[in-house]
Amino acid sequence: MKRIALTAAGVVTGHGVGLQRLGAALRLGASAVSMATRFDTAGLCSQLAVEAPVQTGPDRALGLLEVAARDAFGPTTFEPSTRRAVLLGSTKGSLAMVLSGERVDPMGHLTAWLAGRTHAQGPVRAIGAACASSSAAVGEAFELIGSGTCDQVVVAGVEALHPFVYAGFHSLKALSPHPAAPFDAQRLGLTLGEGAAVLLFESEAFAARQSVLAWVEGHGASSDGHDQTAPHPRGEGLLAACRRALARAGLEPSHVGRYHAHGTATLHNDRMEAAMCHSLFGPRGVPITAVKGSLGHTLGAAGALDVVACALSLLARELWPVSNLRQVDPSLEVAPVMGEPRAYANPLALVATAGFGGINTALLLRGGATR
Amino acid sequence: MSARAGITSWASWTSGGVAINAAPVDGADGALGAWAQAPALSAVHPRARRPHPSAKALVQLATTVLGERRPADLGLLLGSASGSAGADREYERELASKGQGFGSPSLFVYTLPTAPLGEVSIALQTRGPLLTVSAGLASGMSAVARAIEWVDSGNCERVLCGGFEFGIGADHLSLFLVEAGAGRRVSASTGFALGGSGDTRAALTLARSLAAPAPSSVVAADPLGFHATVHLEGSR
Repeated sequence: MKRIALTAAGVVTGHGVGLQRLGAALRLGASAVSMATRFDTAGLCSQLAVEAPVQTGPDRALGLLEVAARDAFGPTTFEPSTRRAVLLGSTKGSLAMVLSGERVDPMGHLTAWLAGRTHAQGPVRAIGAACASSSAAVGEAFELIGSGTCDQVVVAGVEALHPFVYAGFHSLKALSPHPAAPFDAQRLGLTLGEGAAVLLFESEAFAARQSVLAWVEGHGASSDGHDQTAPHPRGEGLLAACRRALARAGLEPSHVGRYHAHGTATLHNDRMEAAMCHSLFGPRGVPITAVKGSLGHTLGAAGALDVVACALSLLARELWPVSNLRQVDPSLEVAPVMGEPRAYANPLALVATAGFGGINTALLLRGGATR
Repeated sequence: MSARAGITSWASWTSGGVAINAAPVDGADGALGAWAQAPALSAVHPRARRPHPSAKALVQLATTVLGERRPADLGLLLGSASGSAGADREYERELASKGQGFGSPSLFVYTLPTAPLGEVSIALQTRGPLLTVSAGLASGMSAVARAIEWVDSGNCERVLCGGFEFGIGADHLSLFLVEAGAGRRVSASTGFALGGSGDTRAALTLARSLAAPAPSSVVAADPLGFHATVHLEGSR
């Protein structure tokens, strides 16, 4: 079985910069949802958002990416290598610059900046998979290293809040007037957020003698073939992705210790994921974790942030509670984690992401070890 | 060991018309959407509501490339430099004229570059992987190159791939069906180095090159540094 190692990560989220702040907040189920301040939300169905507490220039997406890269790599410099790739996941990239009239490639200039920072001369591209963009980028990293094309892949997920996108989710009636509460009986929809994550994945040989935050042991991708915005009601597309990830790793559902959900807190998504979990895990079930009540839905950055969040809880050998979850929707018949963090030994997690267009990604993560 | 990738079918759609496997299609000599005999989106996609013209064009050409086949495991992988720029501008104009709270949800969906491919997945009922890639002027060729690698690695039996640019000048679309162990054999490479130049139509060049039996390579490069190369072998 081939696997790849997550050896470095940097993040900026609503909780600030760095893995320590992120882990401390998620462990306690703290939520960064607050009133949106960066643009006017009057008359829209929500006034809430998760804003990253960092100052940037007008190109907010590039600013967030720079902060996350600095957190991941510090002053580290890289030797140029054709066996190092950069894959960036975002839904709108530097949309703000395009709409302000700048002649800029909204994805290309972010990707090229990160390739320049890391002296990557191998495959360099932005990956589009809607809200699964950066988890699809992690999946592509798994494939590029597993096939022997690359030794190292830098994966970034980045998304900046923008009124254009906020208005779009309002028009879809997907925004909740209350902080997003995944799997809650009273959930009314999602809260949009912003953030960035920069992750370094390496082959097993390159990762030797280093601290490893987590191992990616399997990857599966699929499409629903069902609807642009509504997921397949029984989660059949996501189920196919999860089964493909397990098959790639040579593992069974019974090996999985936790399901790290996409967990947007919309009625349709959480119902779909609950149905998918019943199909995959059967009556045994597994504990469910989710972070969008804490970080908001960061769209193209969500998958990379999910990987980091799950890796941190696996390293701590704990299950961390779902933010804003007060009473589990009884119709779902699943067991999301509530209350205090608790010790949990099983080191294998299934991380799922789903996006518009019916795009699904599943990643199998095994807890790492720091040295 | 998986079978080597080959291109078994291809098509392009430009303002000059539609060509399937290098043969021009009668009655398709205008802009995208002016192909009178094109397969109707409504006939292949019962859940279509207000599909964007870009999605209609893509579904129509994909249906043509595949013929009667409907492989459920089909991978979908397209590259685009402009992505959803055309729909982005339409949506921005709509918000400006109607107000922030009154944008069309149907149009907003198309502000994702993956949305047209999502329509293909729905129309053809596929369950394979679905991605777009953006690598500047090398986007379309990067998608073809990656699709070849998906097939060569054994992760996909067949991938519908290519490039599209909608709403930023001359619209064009090119599609290639890459399959394991069949068709014109191809290999590919991608990389990043400053100093390239080119245009977004390299995938159309590839479509033309497929008609010639001699071995060749088609290169796409972008001033930002992205580049992709697809090598065509000389025999089927």
